[in-house]
Amino acid sequence: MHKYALPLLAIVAVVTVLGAAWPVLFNEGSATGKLLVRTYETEAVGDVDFESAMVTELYGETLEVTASKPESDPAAIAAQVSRLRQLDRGVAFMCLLLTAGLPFACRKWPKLSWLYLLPALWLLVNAQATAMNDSKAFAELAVPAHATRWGMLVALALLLLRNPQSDRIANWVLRIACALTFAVHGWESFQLNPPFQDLLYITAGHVGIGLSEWICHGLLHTIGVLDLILAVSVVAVHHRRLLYWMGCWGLITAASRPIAMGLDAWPEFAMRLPNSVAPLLVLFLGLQAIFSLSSSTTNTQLEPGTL
Amino acid sequence: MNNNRANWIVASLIFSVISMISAVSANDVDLAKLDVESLVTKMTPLKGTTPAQWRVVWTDDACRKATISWTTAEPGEKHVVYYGTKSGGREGKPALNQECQSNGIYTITQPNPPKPKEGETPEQALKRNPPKKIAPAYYHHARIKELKPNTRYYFVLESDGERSREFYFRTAPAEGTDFTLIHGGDSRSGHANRCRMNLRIAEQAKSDSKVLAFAHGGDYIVSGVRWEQWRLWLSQHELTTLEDGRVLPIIPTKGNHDKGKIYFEVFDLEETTKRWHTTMLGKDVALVTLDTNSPGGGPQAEWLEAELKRLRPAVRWLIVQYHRPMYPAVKGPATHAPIFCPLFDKYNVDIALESDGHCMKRTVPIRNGKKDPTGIVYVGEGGLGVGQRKTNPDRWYLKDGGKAGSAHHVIRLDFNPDDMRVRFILMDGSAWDDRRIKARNH
Repeated sequence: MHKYALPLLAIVAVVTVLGAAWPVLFNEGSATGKLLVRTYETEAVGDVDFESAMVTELYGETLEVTASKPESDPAAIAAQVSRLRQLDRGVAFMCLLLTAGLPFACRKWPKLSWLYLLPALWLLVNAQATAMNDSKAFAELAVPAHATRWGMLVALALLLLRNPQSDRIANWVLRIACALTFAVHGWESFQLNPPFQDLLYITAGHVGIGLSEWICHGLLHTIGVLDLILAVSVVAVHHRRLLYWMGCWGLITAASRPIAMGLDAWPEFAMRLPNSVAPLLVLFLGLQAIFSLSSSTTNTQLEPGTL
Repeated sequence: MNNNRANWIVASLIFSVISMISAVSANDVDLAKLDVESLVTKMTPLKGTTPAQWRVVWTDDACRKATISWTTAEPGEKHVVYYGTKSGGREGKPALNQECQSNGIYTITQPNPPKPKEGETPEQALKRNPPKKIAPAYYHHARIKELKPNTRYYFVLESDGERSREFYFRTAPAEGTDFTLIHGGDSRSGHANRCRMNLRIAEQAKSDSKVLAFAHGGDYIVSGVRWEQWRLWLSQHELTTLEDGRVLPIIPTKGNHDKGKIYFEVFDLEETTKRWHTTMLGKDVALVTLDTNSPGGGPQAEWLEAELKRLRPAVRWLIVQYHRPMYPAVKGPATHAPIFCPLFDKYNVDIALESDGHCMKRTVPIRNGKKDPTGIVYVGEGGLGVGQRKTNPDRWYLKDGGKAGSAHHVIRLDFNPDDMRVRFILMDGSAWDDRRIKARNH
């Protein structure tokens, strides 16, 4: 593995977590934060009691209400919501701080690399909360769709342990993460996810091309099929060109957000950077996939003292 | 003695009038204190073929067309709306009738069966904890046409002989702008506050007969595929009906939580063709409704450009409404912004009504992404019950003339020939913001 790969990976990890933390620190909060606030508000404003009363009175059914609480004071609700949001921001900030600080700490104490699992867990929980919030198209697929984000941090924790066995596990974590992300994006593309359509319309518009619906749909179907093929390939074979292409394609799709929406959308790019970096990391690791292609497989171990 | 009696009568009358006035204002003030029981008793139980959950829907020519819809618990066989310009009286019914053109069952997803415990078969698990089945419900849509503009239409709903009380609504005037539109979004959670905001809407209409309709900016419920949430919203929507039977027609917008088929079943819209539409409120006011769940580009952008091109020279007030904000006060902008905003600028839209952010905001006038006195004011962003979020007032379009805040609210648009008064009305009836937007010269 190239000696600069791990430092670069650590930088990408910081950029990724920064992209995820930015909207939490300065905009609406994380998916987990929103879910917690909504759940709390539903309980505090007495929604469950209200629903139960309505269901009984109007529809002749019964709802099991576990705990009956009187409607809270609006000021108390606002204070608690504010505390939840502060907690949300605090967790995001801690994850960012941890991701930024660990590359330095791990030089001296490699076992601290396990702490990368905390931001990985934060990203995973946010993906699950996105699925539970169910407010976007294909939200239910958020956990596998975000696999490269949390998967890359898990892989980083393993790679920093600097032994062949953890490298092999990291190789499979990355391959499976890439497969999941590319498969879900391929499926969304094939199903003509509306934001994907707009990315094509807007990007084409930037270069003066008026894209017809027919061409847009055709392109997305093609992209969908190609992504699904790439998803299968990354776990099946170790092929350099394929992995290079995955890296390039991941970069193009990540960059399409700020290209379409303007530079303010940079966190969208930052969060998706692992879609490009994870396949390249698989390439640099050079370990085997399910089926071995001897000509392209080079098992290179991490050089000591690279981070 | 006679004088004394006359004095008593006059005093009683004065006392009654004062009591009535104070009752109205008490009602106004105590809106926030209404409890669950008193709110629930104002709604119609869904039972047999008793018409419940009534609404009048506008998505087209509000002077001459309307869809009158309701729900029954049983499918029934014959569903008719009796309507006319004259009231049918206490027991009678208006002269005209229209049998429902569209009847069907709402799409209901039943809860999953319980997971078997260790060593338990699925049948045993079902027996131990049988899932609560959600009762079916049926929609009925009567599309009435050839109405007279600016006219009060009385109507009675009838399903298999079961009749509702008499309601009425007013059609939009053929021309002129002497009316008011209420806009609000995001009623998706907070049942009690949702009900209170519905009562606030009714209060607005009660205190001012110029209030013509209610435009909903989307996110009616949390999960659009769950009928058990929609039925609550529909029953609670009854609260926007005035005590004298006046119904405010609703102009619907689809929010990101309103997934699935039920939205289209509730508002009698074609899923494939009626995702965006223009409601003509007479010849001088057009409300263009867009769908931020569908791609902004392609067919929607083509339709929008053609529609704005057609409407702009013809109408005094050109308004757009959609769910996800282009200039948000909380979140990032919708991906539709680079497609929609240049068209709004090009065709000089007068105001954009937004939702989704769960807050209040009024931007500075914006053109080409910059503050410009000739630009478009974006207002929103949803407070019909949902918990309110903290805004980012430091965004450039909310500073130096723009404004942002957090409270449950509706937006009231009073149309006049020369200007439009835009007011944010809070749950307690007070105004958070009150601005006038001048009419453009064409």
